[in-house]
Amino acid sequence: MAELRPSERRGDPLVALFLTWFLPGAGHLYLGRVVPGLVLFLVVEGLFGLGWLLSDGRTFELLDPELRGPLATLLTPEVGNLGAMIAQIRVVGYGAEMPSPFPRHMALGGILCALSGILNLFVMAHAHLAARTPRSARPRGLPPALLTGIAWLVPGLGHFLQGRRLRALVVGGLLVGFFALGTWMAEGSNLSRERHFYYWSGQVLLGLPAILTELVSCRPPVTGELVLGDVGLLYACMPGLLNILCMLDVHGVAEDRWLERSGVGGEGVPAREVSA
Amino acid sequence: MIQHVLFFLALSVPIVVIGAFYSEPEDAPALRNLPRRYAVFVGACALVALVMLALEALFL
Repeated sequence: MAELRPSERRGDPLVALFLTWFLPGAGHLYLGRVVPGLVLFLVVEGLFGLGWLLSDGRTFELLDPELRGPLATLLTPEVGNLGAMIAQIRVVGYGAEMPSPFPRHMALGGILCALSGILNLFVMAHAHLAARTPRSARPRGLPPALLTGIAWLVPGLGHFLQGRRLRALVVGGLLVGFFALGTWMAEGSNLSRERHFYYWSGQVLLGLPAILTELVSCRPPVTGELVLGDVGLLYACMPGLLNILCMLDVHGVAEDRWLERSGVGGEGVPAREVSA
Repeated sequence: MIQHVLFFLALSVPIVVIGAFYSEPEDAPALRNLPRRYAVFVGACALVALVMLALEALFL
């Protein structure tokens, strides 16, 4: 990473990153970007708050009792919004000792809380890069964090918008194809967070294909023996995890191009050469 | 057994392809190296499986 002169730096990237992790928008406020900071805070925490409202904050009750522990929620998407997740653990935790029926919109509430965590990851990436972008620079084009978010939402679309068409086609086809194949093999049993808490966390990283399939199918009940249930579950979860690599690929290239346009690239770590 | 091996070989495809894309910014070298990467991945997994089976036979 190229060094900026102190007068050009907006702030320390790591401080901006960790502030955002604990409190969405705080990193932007630290960098002096008040309006984006407040808007991002309202959007991310608004999503989490709505999710909490719909689920009564009981999402983590879906975790099997034998798996519950102080670090058990670190493998959930909510960890991206760490402050809110800690608040949820401290206030509601894993629920009361006496079981009670879940609220009607429990699943939707859980999805919204997870989305707030994922969204905050992109806000963190944005704050980290904003700290490294010179004050005077006004680079044009989509911000890398937004491109990465698009790559999460629709696998392959981030590559497509970067002009990497072949890669977009292969990535989108493979990831969505294997998710569809897995869902078919598992007969939709993979779509329930209550049934497969951690696998669902991996699956939701595939973005819209996973979320829409769950919402549209309304999590079909299991009515018989699932012959290929385990294999299907693995096939449906793996594309979400692989999409992390695709998002990092998109972000790496987008960030290099962004810094080059800002006049920072070309020193330190060389920009990755990608044919557009 | 054969069915599970086939399932594994199929799932190895996206793992290897996405891994190759991640490590190679250019498409052409990434695609050119796919067969070698696939063979290394499957071979390494087979080795791990053999070690696990051997340990299971020895200690369980």
